[in-house]
Amino acid sequence: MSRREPQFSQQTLIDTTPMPAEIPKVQEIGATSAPLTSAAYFIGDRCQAYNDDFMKCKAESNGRGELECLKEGRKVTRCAASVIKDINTHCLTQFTAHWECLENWNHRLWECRKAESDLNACVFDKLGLKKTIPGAVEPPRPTTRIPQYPIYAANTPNLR
Amino acid sequence: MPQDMPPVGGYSPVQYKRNIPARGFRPVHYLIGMHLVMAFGYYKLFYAVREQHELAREKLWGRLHILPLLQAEEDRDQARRYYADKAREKELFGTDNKVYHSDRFVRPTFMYTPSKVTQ
Amino acid sequence: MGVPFEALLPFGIIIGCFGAGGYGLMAVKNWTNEGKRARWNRDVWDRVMMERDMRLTGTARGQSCNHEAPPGFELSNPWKLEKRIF
Repeated sequence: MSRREPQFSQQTLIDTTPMPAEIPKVQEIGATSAPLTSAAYFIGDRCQAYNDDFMKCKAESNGRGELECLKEGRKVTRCAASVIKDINTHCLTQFTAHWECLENWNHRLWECRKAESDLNACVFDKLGLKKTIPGAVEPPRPTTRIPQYPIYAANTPNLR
Repeated sequence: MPQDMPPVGGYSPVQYKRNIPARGFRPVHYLIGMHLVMAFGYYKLFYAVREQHELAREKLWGRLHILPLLQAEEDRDQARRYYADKAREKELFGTDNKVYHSDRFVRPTFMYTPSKVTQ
Repeated sequence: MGVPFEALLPFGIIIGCFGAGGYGLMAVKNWTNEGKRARWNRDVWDRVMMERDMRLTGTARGQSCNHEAPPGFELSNPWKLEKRIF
């Protein structure tokens, strides 16, 4: 696609030619937006090295990273898929509760702290992955670095 | 001739003030109270803004963590279509010909589309 | 001859019409969002992700937490085209 986002798009072009056989296959991630948002910090915790590697490759080959970073991209996808698979096998109920809450609340993370703390506890127990926000300045809460008595969403029933 | 003179002892004072008692507190107390309420509001606002910054940071880093996998997915799609286009050109022309005078990957601006679109 | 409920008849009509409009809108909104609350204040990221959700699940608000995409997902990315102007 070109850089400009098409404004007057009248049709779509779908190309169903598969990838050439010499390029290794990777199964794409099937999680949609709410589960990905829910699992983002755990993906970031386990796959930080792969993610950084991929983005570094993209930055270094400026302009043609699409073809050269396929290997790093496959690693990123496999790692993220492994995280989602692990969460699905170990913490499915908490995970489902959290992303359904997110889906109902416009993907705003602060509306779903109760489900999130359950999910964080379960994932830390079973998988050892922790949610940390880099550069957060507010110290009190250990897992999310959000104040203990938040001002926002204080009246919603979903809180803590 | 007798002349009109003020009465003996002068005129009685004219009442120009209204004789109504002042209600409520003293005005300075209202001023102080208003400033206290405002100060409390700004105190809460200070922490609310700080919390909003943290929430924005949380959202940003959540997106940053899932951005590489989405980008990798998109890049694979671009590469797949690039190779498919190259193969089609090879089949049509018989040779590898390059549109641009470089080996760079360029996202296509113009595409040939099927002449009959079935929607 | 003054019937007391006559004054209430237009009142009922007003309530009925506003109610039909309001509940109708509510029903349409509920139906388009598949029983969930509507998304609002979406930025470009959200819109692109919702299009990806559509490709994955086939419905506008459907969600899935599988770690593997259904077969054919990687071949289904549509490019939006617009006719060239000159």
